[in-house]
Parts: sequence; structure tokens; C-alpha cells
Amino acid sequence: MRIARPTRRKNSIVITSLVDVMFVLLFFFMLASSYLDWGAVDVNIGGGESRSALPVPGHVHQLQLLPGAQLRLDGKTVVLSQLASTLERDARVIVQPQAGVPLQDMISVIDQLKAAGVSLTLGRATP
Amino acid sequence: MKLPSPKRPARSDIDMVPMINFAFLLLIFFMLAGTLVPAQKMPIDPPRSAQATPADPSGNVLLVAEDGRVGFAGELLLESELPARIAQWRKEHPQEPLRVKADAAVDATRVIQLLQSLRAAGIEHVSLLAARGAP
Repeated sequence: MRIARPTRRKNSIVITSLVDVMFVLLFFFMLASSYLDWGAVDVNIGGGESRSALPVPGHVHQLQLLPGAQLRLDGKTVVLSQLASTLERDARVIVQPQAGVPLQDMISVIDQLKAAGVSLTLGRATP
Repeated sequence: MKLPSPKRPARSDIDMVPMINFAFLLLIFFMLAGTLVPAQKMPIDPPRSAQATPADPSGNVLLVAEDGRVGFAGELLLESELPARIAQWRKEHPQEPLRVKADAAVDATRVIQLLQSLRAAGIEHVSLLAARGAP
């Protein structure tokens, strides 16, 4: 008796279309995804139209931001890296950028103030 | 005379399987590692901040483009329409802080002036959205 040898089945599934679809998906996800790690910087807004009439206890520092990354704390020029050591902890600071200061500079200053643990409010420098 | 029959092109014997495996790996990586964001009406390049706490940049966000144009929740608005729109949002979400996505190069006074105009709408604290990491 002869036993038939099992015939090897030819691989008949066409993978080309599968690969095509997969590449489309790959390009879609490569181009459509965003890898930015978003975060939030919480700030208070001061001034404006409906000014709350609560008197602020303690001394409030005014930190003016001038164009060209210059800082003026209560009228005296300070350097960004020494800002944290100049201020006492629990100090209150009003950050007042002048016209021409990009938002990135203000965020960098706010970063330093937050690291120093002071509470801050945003305002605008009165010309 | 007997002409040689033209040679049949050799069957492509390139093994596709390792390439497909690799491409699947990339596909799964990009699917899992990235987040899909809806297309924006205006391009905004966020500032970088080292002190920012993790936040969600989607949904009801006040947008300020580099040229000073404003938008809310993905649609462009006139500056005069903004306070009414924000006040309506505030009525629906009394507790949530307003998230502000502003371009890194926009004038800081422009952002503050906008936010001060929203104090009447009940906005006193905002979350400025930034990309986390050292600038």
C-alpha cells in the first residue's frame, strides 16, 4: 500500500495588499501624532476692569519685565538667575511685562518665581 | 536558426517577512506613543516651561496666535465676541480654570490685556499651557 505523502500547501495568501494598508496606517500615525508633553502654569490675573477691592496684606513686590530679558524688581535691576535668592519665601510678586516682551520670557520668569515658592499675579506695567 | 527564448524575469525572492515585522513594530509604536490632535485653525508654537504641571491641551482652550488673533475651543473669534463666549463657558463650568494656549512669541502684554478683559466674565485664575521641559 502506498501512503500518499502530504503535499506541502503553497502559501496562497497575498500579503501585498495587507502591507499596503499597513504602510498607509503607519504614515498616518507618523504624521498625525503629536509628541508634545503639555503642561499648565497656573497664574492669577490682577488689575483689569473689575478690580477686587480686597486690601493685600504684606509687602507686594513689583517685577517689571523689559524687552531684552531685563528685569527690574521694585525699580532695581536684577538678574534672572539671582531672582529667587533676592526674594523672601512667601513673598508676593506682581509680574508686569512691558510691551515687546515675548510670552516665553514671561514664562521663564514665572518658572523662576514658582521655583522660589512665591505667589504671583500678572499685571501690566503702567507706562 | 533557433532563437533563445527570452528569459522569464526571475521571481522576486526578497523575503518580505522581516520588513513587515519591522513596519508593524513601527506602526504599533507610533499608535501608542503619540496622541492624535485635531487640526488647529491657527498654528501655535507653545512656550516651554520647566515648572508646568501635566495638563490636557484639548477641548475648551483660549487660543492666542503669534499675530494676536484669538480663538476659543478651536474656532476663530473676534476680540469683541470673546467676553460673551467666555462668560457662557464660565456659566457651564464654574470651577474649571480657563486654559490659555498662547504662542511663545506673542507679546506678553497682549495675553495679559486679553485676560484682564475677561475678569468681568469671572476669570481670575488661568492655566497657561506650555510644553514641559527646559526652555
